[in-house]
Amino acid sequence: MTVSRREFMKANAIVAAASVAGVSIPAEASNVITGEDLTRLSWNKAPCRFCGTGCSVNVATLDGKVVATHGDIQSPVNKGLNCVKGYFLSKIMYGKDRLQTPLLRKRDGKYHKEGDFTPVSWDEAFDIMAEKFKAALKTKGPTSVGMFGSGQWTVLEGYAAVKLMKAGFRSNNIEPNARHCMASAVGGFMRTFGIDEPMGCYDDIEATDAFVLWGSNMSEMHPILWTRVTDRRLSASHVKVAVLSTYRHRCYDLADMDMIFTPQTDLAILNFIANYIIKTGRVNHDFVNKHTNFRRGDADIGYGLRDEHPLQQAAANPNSGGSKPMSFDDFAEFVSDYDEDYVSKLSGVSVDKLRDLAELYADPDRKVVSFWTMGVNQHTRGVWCNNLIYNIHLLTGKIATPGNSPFSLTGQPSACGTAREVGTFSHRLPADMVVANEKHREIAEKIWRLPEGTIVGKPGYHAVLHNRKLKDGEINAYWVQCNNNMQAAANINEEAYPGYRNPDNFIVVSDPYPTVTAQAADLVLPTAMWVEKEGVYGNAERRTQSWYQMIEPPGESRSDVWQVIEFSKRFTTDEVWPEELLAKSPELRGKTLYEVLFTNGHANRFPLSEISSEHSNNESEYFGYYVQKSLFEEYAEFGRGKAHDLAPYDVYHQTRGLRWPVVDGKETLWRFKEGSDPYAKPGSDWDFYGKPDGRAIIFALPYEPAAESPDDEYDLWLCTGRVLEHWHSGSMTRRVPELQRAVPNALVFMHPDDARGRGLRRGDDVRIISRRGEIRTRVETRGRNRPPVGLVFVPWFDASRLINKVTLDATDPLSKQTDYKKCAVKIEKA
Amino acid sequence: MAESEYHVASYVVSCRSQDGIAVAAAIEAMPGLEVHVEEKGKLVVTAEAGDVRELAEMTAKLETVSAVVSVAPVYHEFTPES
Repeated sequence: MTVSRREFMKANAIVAAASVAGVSIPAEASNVITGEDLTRLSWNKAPCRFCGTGCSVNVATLDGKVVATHGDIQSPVNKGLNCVKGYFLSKIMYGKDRLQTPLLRKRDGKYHKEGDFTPVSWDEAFDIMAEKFKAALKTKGPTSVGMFGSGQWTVLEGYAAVKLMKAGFRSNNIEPNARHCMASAVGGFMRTFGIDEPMGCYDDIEATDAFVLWGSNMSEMHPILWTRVTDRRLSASHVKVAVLSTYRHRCYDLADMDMIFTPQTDLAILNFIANYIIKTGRVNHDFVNKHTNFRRGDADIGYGLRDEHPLQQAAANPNSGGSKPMSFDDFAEFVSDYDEDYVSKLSGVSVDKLRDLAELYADPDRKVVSFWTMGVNQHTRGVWCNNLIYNIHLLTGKIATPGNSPFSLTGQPSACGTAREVGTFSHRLPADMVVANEKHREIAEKIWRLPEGTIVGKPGYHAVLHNRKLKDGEINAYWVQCNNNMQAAANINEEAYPGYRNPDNFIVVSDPYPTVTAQAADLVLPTAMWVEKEGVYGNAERRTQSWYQMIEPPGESRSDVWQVIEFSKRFTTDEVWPEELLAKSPELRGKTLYEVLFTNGHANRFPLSEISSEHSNNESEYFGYYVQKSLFEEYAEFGRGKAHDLAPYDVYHQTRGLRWPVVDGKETLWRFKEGSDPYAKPGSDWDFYGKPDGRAIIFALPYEPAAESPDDEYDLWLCTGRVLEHWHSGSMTRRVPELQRAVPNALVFMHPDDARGRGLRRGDDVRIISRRGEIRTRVETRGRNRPPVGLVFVPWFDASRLINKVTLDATDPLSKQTDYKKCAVKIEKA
Repeated sequence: MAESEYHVASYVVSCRSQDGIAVAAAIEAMPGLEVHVEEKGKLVVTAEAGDVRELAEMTAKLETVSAVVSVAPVYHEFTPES
């Protein structure tokens, strides 16, 4: 390499950082850039592949390979910054074990459940896969097939999969892994507001006077947003940061108010705050009278375990989300039980700290942003916990205005865009519609050009049930795309693994890498990722972003959307639809699902000539029409005019994303507030239009204990979670050498006194044992996560130490989301 | 990772403005790291390395410099030596 090339690379690096920092560019850097050099790399924007923040990254390719990345200075989200994961983004595609061809378990030259993985052609892969899906559909009907997708699917991939499953196979057994991460947030939104996703946006960060973190380690999980929070805190001395968690983590370094609470008592603390607001006379009665209703929710609702489990049998109202109207005075009386002495004793947080925290919300002159993630959502009362956070914002009217924002953060890059907005859940359709509603099914059938009655009205199995139904042999043909559920699901020893290896079942896993899940499959399909395809993601603040294909995927890899559409060619309507449905639309008889779903004249209406002339588009070139635009525009029909409006597809290629609803070309920053949301009725001031009367609901919901708490034998709380360097299950980040080197193995973080009490020292080899399983790992008593006495923390990214053999598959009975944060374990020297 | 690579990365390092000069000096003293701008507690820093391991170690070291509040990576490019 010539010295000038090296200097040029360095100059680029300096210029990028100087622009981000807002400082002057040094002469050494500005002199080097020449026209010739600039043409060497081809730069394009793409949203980051990892978390739900939705940072935009500039990606440079040279000779068909990604060689450089930097934070996109034009992005309103990250303003040129990157986190460590985004920084090394270019390497996720270049792990040494990237899959190159389909792999089928074979013995003696043919498929065998106990055979060895053998490379096969796509034709052979789809032959056996179609045979197994057809056999299941024929013998047991649509409920015997299932699909498990992801909030990492692009919007287009999720949408195509929903069409194939819900319309093609007429099975509602499709779920995203977002069920493990966002379902309680969705439940909370629907229950309180009747419409999903945050009303505010990231602009609240620079406008607020206080941040309260409820079960969110933003410093490690959403570092770019945390940088914005830090900047706000350090640049305005009146701003306060309150951090609540069950163990100390990096966010506590910035905390003005730090609280460690006993697991599950967040429910009581939230009710205490409501009580404090009422007792100190700081309810915003004008707002409350005009814009809210009060309801008493059913209590004692069980723990989402199998029906025969003793805890389910003991519950008075198992799985009930029911509620009855109540008055403000009744509500005040309900929360009056949660006084400071009772809640302090229960939670372990001092009375003074509880008061200071409550005062942040109660003070009418202070704007407040609440942030939360898995601590609130992965909770057997996750929906309740979401409802209770909204309660305190509603009681004070601190909502939907700049700096006043209850903000549910998301984990995956398109948990909002794909899992939630497309509706890849077993009960949902696009734009917050549900399969159980006849009118909603009619709308979908009309847009999809399908006969009435195609979509089945009964919701399918939720994520945790998928594994139980596989184990019980009720789902027999199963397709997993874009996630690693064998590592991510709780209680894999007793449910997931026996389900995948059940001899009656055929399991297909599409992934770029041989994950634990892929290794438990019967057929593995090599998958294109990120900028190897054109795509669209939607982030946590309702921002929809797109990117172009920039490079070719390796070997025989194909994108998820190609796989879904190509597979649909293998089925005709006669094979999968009942006679009565065929009789309604004789013209569809004998047609392939490909013809009916993806090339019906409407679903493929944008021609190949509209794709970018500067980029490849493998799927469109293969199928002969602009696949991504056609899918997007059909999908957008669901939400336009219904407060979910998306802009025309091409606009997203030109912008750094837009926050929906996009009406008359304008994005919406704060929903439900007249003046900033075009859907809020004139004269309403606030309009919670997700509810028929325009009023949000304040719920009376009690503190109830966790599904499993420590006892004499299993004497420690176990909490699981992530660390900064790894995202998702580590299947991508563990292949980036820098990230893997920084944090190679999952350790058990414990308090030094707990270690000493068991005769353990830092670095000792230990067994973590629950009633369900055990793992071995090493003790860490220092470091970034510092649990209190009585609680241990284990990250879950490490495929060699599967902590989910130990966890309990208790779920929120309303959202069906698993509580990965609370179960009882004991720790012994190995 | 092959040794015949050249990596360059840049960071915005933040500290309180009164610590800027001391932080810059501490970073300059570390091999492979260079400070290009120091303005009101914002530093533009580059790292050059022959392989990713070295680069990762440099990133980690930056975070341990006394008085540093945050290290934000911005740019990364790598290419085989030729």
